[in-house]
Order: sequence, then structure tokens, then C-alpha cells
Amino acid sequence: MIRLIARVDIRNGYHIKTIKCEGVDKIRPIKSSIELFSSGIYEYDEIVLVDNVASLYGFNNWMLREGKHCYCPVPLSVGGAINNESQAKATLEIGADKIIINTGAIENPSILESISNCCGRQAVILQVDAKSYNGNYMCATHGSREISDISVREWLSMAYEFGVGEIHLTSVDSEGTSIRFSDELAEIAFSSSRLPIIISGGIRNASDILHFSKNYGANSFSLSSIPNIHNIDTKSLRHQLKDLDLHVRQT
Amino acid sequence: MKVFVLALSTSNYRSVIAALRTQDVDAIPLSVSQLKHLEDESLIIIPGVGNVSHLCEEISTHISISDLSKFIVSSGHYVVGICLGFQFMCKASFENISSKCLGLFPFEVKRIDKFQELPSVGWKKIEKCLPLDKSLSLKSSRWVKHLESNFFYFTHSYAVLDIPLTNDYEAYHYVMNKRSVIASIMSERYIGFQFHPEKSGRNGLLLLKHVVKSTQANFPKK
Repeated sequence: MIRLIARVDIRNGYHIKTIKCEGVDKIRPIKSSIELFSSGIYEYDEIVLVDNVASLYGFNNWMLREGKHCYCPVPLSVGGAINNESQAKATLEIGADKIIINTGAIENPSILESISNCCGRQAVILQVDAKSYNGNYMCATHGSREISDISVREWLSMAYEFGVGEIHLTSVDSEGTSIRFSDELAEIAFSSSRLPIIISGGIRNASDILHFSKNYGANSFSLSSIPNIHNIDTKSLRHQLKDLDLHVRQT
Repeated sequence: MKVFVLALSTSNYRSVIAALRTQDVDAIPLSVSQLKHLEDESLIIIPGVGNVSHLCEEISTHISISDLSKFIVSSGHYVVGICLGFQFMCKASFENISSKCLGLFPFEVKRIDKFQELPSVGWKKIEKCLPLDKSLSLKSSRWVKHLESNFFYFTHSYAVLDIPLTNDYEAYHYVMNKRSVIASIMSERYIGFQFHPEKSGRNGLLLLKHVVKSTQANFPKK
């Protein structure tokens, strides 16, 4: 079944618009986006909060900074500079259902296993920011500002053994642009790991969802431009996908 | 009738309480040690996230599982178990067979797929599978219409599977790899949800609201 996930990039308490993972404008307060995407005609299947600058400043993620329990009626995944077990547990206790790790895992892969052991595999999402570099797709860190020396193919092939539950893969080069998610990157991703992979960055409409579902078996899509730029509500998107013979939750 | 949610560390009880509040239900967090002092007939919700042995250990530090089971059976309380909380209401769990469970449902909890490391996660549409005679309904029929053919959010590696055909229980399931995975089961005073109604969007919230209202209607007004 197709899973529709609302991608909410955040900074300083706001849901922000990004282009290639760089913030360019405020959209609305984070809490308003959580409410919007968890009810009514914009109800998504899940929400992910992506904090691309937390690791630059060494801040805790938004939820820990808020310090108050946050309730969301659909599964909520939260990331942002999580690099140890106690931060992961604290984030889950304060309302997240899953935690997202990127930079912390590349710098110290062993934290994935320790967090997975204490919190459960299903609660750990590996965030992979993919950037094209010298003809290869490499993993980017620190809000996609730095290129690591590990390729996307290599990193994804190790993810299962690290105890991760799923992967949130962003194509940085197409994120926030009008360019579609790369077929080459999709091919690399779906041939490298048997974990569920959520693809993000350049999924622009129902046809793109059909394309990646039919050609790569993708079933999870993290969407930002569809609700925030093209203003397509989720109910309408679900109808469009159903008309394309895709199996999707009806609300 | 009061609604209590067991405040277990092996759970997301705050989310359950918050979910009920969105439906104008004021649920009270209840510690395990306070449980046996409940006098009025109440609705007790047992949430649960994680591992059955941790949940059993946490409860056992306050009361033995068999004493808790006897207390619930002899009281007039209604009990709703969510996810691991539902599994704890069953006879035993193969996640840790030495962990004692409440035995309020006479079923065992087993690994969904012994060849599959990954848990069953995501939205599933559930359908009625019991009673054997599908035209029968228990008293719960007032709210079960919120279950049939609706989608709910699941995240679990263990489940009640393949219940014997019977008219003694009402149950709903989803099918995975040709196996019947129980999504909800109910008897006179006990309800189990394998899915998370507090994370199942509008359908889940409505379900919680109607379970509470329907249970309230079972208690005589004082």
C-alpha cells in the first residue's frame, strides 16, 4: 500500500520552505503544520519533522527544546542532532513515535544499534541525504552541507545490519526544485536494501508516485511541494492515486 | 464512570490521554499501585509499547500478575488493551514465554513471521472474522461499526494469530502472507486493539470516543 508522508522541514519553531535542503522561507509554525497534516482533508499517513541545522549547532531536536509533550494523531517521526540513546529515548517519551538520525549515525554508526536495541527497530529511521558528487551519489551530512566519504549504495547496504527500521532518502539535488527524484538514485536505493525506503525530494505529483511505484516498487513518499507549493490536499491526492489503480488508504 | 490510563513507562500513555482529550474525554493517569484501590466501576486502558517482559516486570514490582488478573475478573471494571497492552491481556506471549500475562483472553501471542526480522508496520484495513456466524453481534455493536473496513495503524512483531472459529468472541483481522492477524478482539468486559487508535488519525479518535461512550452506557447512572 502507498504511504503518504508529510515532510516538514523545520527551523526556529517554524515549518520552512527549502530548496536543496536550504531554508528559504517560513511557511507556518511547526505545531500548525502538525495539526494540519494530521486531520481533515490534509490528513497524511505519517509526518516527519526534518531539522537540517540542528547538527550544525549541536542543538537538541525541536521536541526536546520545546520540553512539552506533543501529541500527534498520526505517527510522528522527529530528527535533529540525535546522537545518543538518552536523546533518542527522551524524544520518544515526549511524543515522537520514531526518531530520525543522519549525521550522528555517519559519525558513529554504532549508535544505530544501541538505539535500536533500547527503543526497538521500528522506532529508528535512518535519514540519508543523497548528493551527486563526481558521478556518484554520496551521503551528505550537517544539513546536506558536507559530503561524507561513504556512498549511498554502501550506506544503504549496511543499514539493515545496524538495526534500523526504515530509510528516509532525500535527493538533495532535486529537493524543492521542479526536477523529479532521480531514477538513477531510485535504482541504487531499491537494489541496495530490503528495508522500507521512503523517498523524498522531487516527488511532485501523482504521476511521479505512479512512476516510482511501478518501476522500482517504491511505496512510501515523503512530500513537501505537493501540499505546500501546489496546494493539493491529501484527499484529492488519494483519489488521483486510486484512479491510477494504486492502493492507498482512503480517509 | 471514570476513564483511567495505566501510566506505564513501557507505553505512550501520554499520547493516549491526549487523544482522548481531543474527544472531550478526561482520562486520568493511574499508577499500577493505585489500580487495586479503584472502587467505582471504571474503564481502564492499558497502553503498551515495547517488550512484554519489560511491561510484566514493571507491573510485578507493584502487584503480582495473578493477583492483578483476579482483581480485574472479580471487579466490574472494563479493560481496553492497546498493542502490547492487548497482548498482556492474553494467556501468554512467545516474545517471552516466561513472562506471566493476565489471561483475560485465552489466546497466545506469537511471532507474526518467524522468518521475517522486520516488524509489521503501517496502515491496514481490517475486516470482521468472528463470530463464526457473522450475523451475530455482542453488546459492543454500537461502536464496532467504526472498525469494519477501516484503516488503522499497526507496529508489531507479535500478534494473536489464527484464532479457532467460535461464536464466543467478536474479532477483526487483517491478512498478511495468508495468515490471519488479529487486529481487535472483544468479549463482555474486555477489548483488545493490536493497532494504535491514538495514532490512527480521525478513525482512531472516533473509535476511542465511541468505545468510551458505549462503555459509559453500560453503567447504571448514579
